[in-house]
Amino acid sequence: MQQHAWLTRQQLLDAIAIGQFTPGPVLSTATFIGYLLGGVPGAAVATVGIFLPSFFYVALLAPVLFRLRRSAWIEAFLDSVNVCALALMTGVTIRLATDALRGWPSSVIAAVALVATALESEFCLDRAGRRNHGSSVLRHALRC
Amino acid sequence: MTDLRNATELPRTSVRARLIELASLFLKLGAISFGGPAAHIAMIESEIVVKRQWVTRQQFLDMLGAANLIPGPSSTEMAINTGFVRAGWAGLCVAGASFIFPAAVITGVFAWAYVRFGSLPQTASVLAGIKPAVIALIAIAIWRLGKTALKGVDLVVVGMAALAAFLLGINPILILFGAGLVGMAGRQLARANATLSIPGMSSGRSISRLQLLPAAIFTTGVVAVRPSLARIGLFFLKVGAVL
Repeated sequence: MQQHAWLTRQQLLDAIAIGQFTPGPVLSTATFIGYLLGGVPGAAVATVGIFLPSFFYVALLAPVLFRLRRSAWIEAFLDSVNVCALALMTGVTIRLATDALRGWPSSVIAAVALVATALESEFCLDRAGRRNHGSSVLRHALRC
Repeated sequence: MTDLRNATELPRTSVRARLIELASLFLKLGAISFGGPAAHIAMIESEIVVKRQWVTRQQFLDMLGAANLIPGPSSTEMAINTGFVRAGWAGLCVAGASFIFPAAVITGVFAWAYVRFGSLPQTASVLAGIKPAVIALIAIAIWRLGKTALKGVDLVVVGMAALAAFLLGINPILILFGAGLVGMAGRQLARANATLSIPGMSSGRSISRLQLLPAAIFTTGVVAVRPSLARIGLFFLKVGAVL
């Protein structure tokens, strides 16, 4: 961006901020910048451009992904990578928590959300191969 | 339960039904998933592993690892991958496009407003309330996935090392590949040890792995609580390794 001097610094900062608090992939910033530079066609082209490689990468990998497990080497590699991916997710969440959980209102929200989500997860949702344990009273209370 | 028949084997009506299913799911997810990629992944997991059981948790983990390894936005790639698993190449395109579309449109609207009015709306405080709930959501998803992913003590150690490395600011790609290589090396060592095992000594390796665990916990704790301290440690570690 700095190379091409298409935007002012402020515009770039605003674009990134927009990407943060809109839903969906953060790279929708590209749509914002594309619009600034070239109106609706610019937005469309920017969006397609920034996301298209992802489609190709997945198209290459997805057909063989589940079969990769057959090799013991790759299985070890994948297991580590998966654990790592979770560790990265955890790290991001820790950073988010230290940033967002300041003062009791946000901590209370987090705690309540945690309990609610955990209850829903354990008693209502997880039918994936597990018996749905837990008291029916609780499930009725949660209405699921 | 999990219908992983090749999409070409399904009758046409069934494929079309699946595509519509994919589109509606990912349009919805694309529109409501605030909170960054980790939140998206948590929500996708809740939908496709728990509620709809389109893939097993292990398969989801493999998809997640792959999405992290390849360049590009991981959450979108998870959507694209799900589309492929569910409905082949058509599904791949439909799911990805559906996930991106709402965000693109909303951002486009903001862009229009920005150009028209010259500044951003003050929505920051609204989002501040969502963040704590998002943190809870992600934490639960990590908990669920962790139960499947952490298959043994060595993987727990790898995970903690990865977390510490990330919090120290090491490049995530390096961490991912490094962990993968360590995993492969560890597996090779274990097999070599197995063939060389002496009766009575066979538990030796597992003991040493368990001994690693407190060290890993300690290190991760230090890094999480006092990163500056850990950076000092890392610096001297590097010096010690090179001198």
